[in-house]
Amino acid sequence: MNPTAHRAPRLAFWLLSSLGVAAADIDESKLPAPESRPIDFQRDIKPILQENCLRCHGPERPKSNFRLTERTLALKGGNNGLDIVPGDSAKSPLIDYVARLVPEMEMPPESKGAPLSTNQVAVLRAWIDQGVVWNDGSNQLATASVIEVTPLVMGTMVQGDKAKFRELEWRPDGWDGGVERFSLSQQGADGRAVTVEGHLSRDDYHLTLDLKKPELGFARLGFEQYRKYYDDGGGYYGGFTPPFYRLGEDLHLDIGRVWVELGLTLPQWPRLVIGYEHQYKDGAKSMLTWGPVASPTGDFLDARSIYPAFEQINESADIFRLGVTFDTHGYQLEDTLRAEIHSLNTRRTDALYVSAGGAAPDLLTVVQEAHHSLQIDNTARVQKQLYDWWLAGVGYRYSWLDADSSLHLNPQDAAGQPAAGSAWSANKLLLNEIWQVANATSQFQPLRQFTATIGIQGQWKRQETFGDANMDEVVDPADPTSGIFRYPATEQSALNQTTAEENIVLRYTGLPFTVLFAEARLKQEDYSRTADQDGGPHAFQLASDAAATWQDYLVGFSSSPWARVSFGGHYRHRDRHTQYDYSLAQHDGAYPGFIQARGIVADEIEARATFRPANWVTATLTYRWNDSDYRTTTGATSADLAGADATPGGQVLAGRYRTHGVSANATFTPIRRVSLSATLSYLNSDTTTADNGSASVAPYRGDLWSVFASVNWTIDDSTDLFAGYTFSQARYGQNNTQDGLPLGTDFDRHGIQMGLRHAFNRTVTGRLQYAYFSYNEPTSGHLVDFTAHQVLASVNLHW
Amino acid sequence: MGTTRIQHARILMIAGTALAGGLLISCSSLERTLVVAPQIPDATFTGNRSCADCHVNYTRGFASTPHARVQIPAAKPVGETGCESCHGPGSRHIAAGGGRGKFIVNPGKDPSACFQCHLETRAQFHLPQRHPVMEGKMNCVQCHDPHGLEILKPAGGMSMARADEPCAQCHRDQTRPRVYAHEAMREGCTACHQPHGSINAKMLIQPDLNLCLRCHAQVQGAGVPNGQFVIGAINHSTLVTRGACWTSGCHTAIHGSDINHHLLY
Repeated sequence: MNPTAHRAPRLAFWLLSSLGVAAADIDESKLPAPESRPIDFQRDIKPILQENCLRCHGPERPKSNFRLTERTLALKGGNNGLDIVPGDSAKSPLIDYVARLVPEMEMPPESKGAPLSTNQVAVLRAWIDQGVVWNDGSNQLATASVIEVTPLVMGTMVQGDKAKFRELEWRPDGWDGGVERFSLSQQGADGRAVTVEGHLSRDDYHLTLDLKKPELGFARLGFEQYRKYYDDGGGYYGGFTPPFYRLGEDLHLDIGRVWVELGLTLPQWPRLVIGYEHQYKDGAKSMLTWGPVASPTGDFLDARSIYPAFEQINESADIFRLGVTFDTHGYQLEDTLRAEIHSLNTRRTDALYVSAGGAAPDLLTVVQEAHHSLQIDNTARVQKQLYDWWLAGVGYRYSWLDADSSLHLNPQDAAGQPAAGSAWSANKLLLNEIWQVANATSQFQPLRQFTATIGIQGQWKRQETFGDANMDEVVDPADPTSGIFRYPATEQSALNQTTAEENIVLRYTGLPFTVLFAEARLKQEDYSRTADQDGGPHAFQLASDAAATWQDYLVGFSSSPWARVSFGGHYRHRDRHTQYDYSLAQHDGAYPGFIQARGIVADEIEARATFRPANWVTATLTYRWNDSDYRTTTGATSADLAGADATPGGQVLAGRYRTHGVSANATFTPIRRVSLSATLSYLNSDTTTADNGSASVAPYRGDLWSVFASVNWTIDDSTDLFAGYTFSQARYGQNNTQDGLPLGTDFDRHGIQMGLRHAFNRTVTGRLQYAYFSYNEPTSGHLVDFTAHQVLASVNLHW
Repeated sequence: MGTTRIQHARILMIAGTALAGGLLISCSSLERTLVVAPQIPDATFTGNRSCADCHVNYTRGFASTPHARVQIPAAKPVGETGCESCHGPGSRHIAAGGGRGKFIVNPGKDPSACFQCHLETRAQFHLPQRHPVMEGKMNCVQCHDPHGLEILKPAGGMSMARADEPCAQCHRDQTRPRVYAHEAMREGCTACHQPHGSINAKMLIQPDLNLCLRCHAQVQGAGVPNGQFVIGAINHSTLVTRGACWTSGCHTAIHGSDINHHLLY
């Protein structure tokens, strides 16, 4: 066997061994005499290896690359050479180690287990002297093969808004079936393993294949896809008829990826991983770019934007990755080279005008965007334990991105014909970005109870964009000569950004059963930006410099002074401030170049306590308080833009965000066969802004409750019952119906699940399950409510 | 922060420290109860040192990580306040010679271990709009590095994180460079979104004008009639009756625009 700890003594031993010193120093007379009886591997040896050796010298990551899982590998030895000499136990280093005759090489090490008895050493000697017979049938100490398949069928009957059900519950309605889970795994004693896992159901697929051979490499392949569903409704306004619109579209996105990863894990060689991944999104999703609907009075100034919008998406990313990690001389080196080709095409349809009571938009705009990019980046890291008290690491990342984009706005009438409106377009906008990041971190532990970690990071980013655009305004699409005002324009912008970050993390554990910690995360950022659009109705020029400082402090403790109580808490203070300086700002309004300073100051307190009054019950209680202030300083607006004295400028407490959150959890196991768990979470939040004096802008405040409860009852060795309940309730409704559009939500959501699981034998286990879902949203006029019943049956086959 | 709130915070801190000091008088060497560790049939706690034998890359820098704040160095056994708090008792894993997922809990695949402490986060993942962690289509470690100096990926080990990169790995369209960027993007995605879950569409922190006005409110001039308000140089009093800035058909390019500096498209 081989050592597991104390590198310096081990190194010394290697040196001594290589010089033939160690063997000469061993006094063989101190070895117990070998047993004289015939040794049976199964009866005599296997228990010794399993109880004393395999935890370190098993199939996975064996110490010193020495495996005791099969005869061939045992005789092969490890990093220190041969450990077993068949027929000669006295010359087998393994016996010297287990007999504890070699200082710093005692096996098992003191921290890993008790020494072998004299009799056990004698048995091992006899086994070696008798030829290391390994008659466990397969010639291997351990193999495992597991096959598991769980076919499933279920039906979900929904009453009410089926699309809302699909969106909120992340599952289809109607009949569904497939394989809930399948897996096949086989592992040999030498660590070779094959694993196939996956599931297959409607709109949801997952398959992975893992192949592994220790000291050679691995291959991982996979495919997965799931569907994200969207409701096709827009906003709700009770003052209109109809108050709510639907697109009549089955909105969903299929999100998936295919990947392959090959790794080389040769001993003493760098670990090499080559990977390719194809990610994609395909389908359509709902958008919040809702269109305005005129009021029944016909006054468009009193419109409400509630008509839904959606976007078709076709997106893919091809990612190539090459990673190298290497541990040598105490250095941990890592380098990852990554290339990503991204392609995105979107087509969004927004309503621009819906007449009062109209069933469909009278005017809409189609926004088509395309974006293609190539990004290459390389990240290198080095980490080393320089001294027992100093762990250091440095890293560097270089990223280069080259992209082009296009955009087309096409106003259309209800028949899909060109209409009046903004018809902006840009056929090719070029974007380039270079981003470099370098950091250095050190973890110091001058005392056993004290750790100080200091990290610094610098970032530099440069971004440039350039392209031509047409900012055309269409008055009469039928008259391309005089009905379209053409505004050719050039767009360009540039950004130069420099960021420095400093992290300090202090941790003290000198008090009994207590951790004290304090952290500071600081950031300073300077950036200059220029932007220029030299034509069109919104032509402008801007040149600005900004300086931002972020400060984030945290101090707290965790303690468990009594065996059945633990508690802790922290206080956190954050302060972010940005100062803007505009050397050039010529445009059609106050923005951009209007905000001169912004500041966010936030305080947070969190407390936590856990109690275990008895072994069968544990309770946890947490509380969090947060208070954030947002301050904005602007310039003054000139009278010719907004009328006299629109704003004199200056600082304002623009907004305030406060929360109180309490969560409690209790886990009970009153009797061995019954376990219960319940969690309650409550959040109160309040957002106010300086403009809440306007009747259109109601404060956003309310309460949010969540409850989860579950119970498992194991009736006997083959049958158990389970049930669960989830509930959430929000009360964020607003009362600005008369002058605005209330967007706060009230809802009640329930979920009940109960079932029975029964093992018919060791191979077959059946499950029957019923679930009930309910969603009730009065702030949408109950038009998105649903109730659903789901019945599920599955059979698990396990070999 | 106002003076009153500072005093409030100080009082709470002093009270908490005094309570901690009082309780510390009574120390014990019995089992700690910081969290309910995951259960593994027939396995027992072994302590952190066993884990360090193989997983030194995780353990040697662990004292610098946010999770070290709750790693209480109890005298014996250390099982429930160390690695095994999240990964479950390790005796069978060690006896089997280790191996990925072999008799050990991998919170990367099952968030239950994380939810033992992060109760509030668990509640957020049950809200109507959420990332599909409970549905098994995502997991905590896709965005978080529980063993890293920084909890957000892609830092890893002793490295420092970069804001928004966990989001950008899936939401490329929203995070890509634009000709005219929204300044709020500099604050990070969490300035407007609650990434675990929300009651609002698109996981927004607020669904209405308050979200924007937190930064864009301004001092109203004497010329602005009561009940009305101007943003920039534009009187928005009528426009905001339609809804939020991004839902009212105006600032629809809210993450940034390639063609209009007012983010109109």
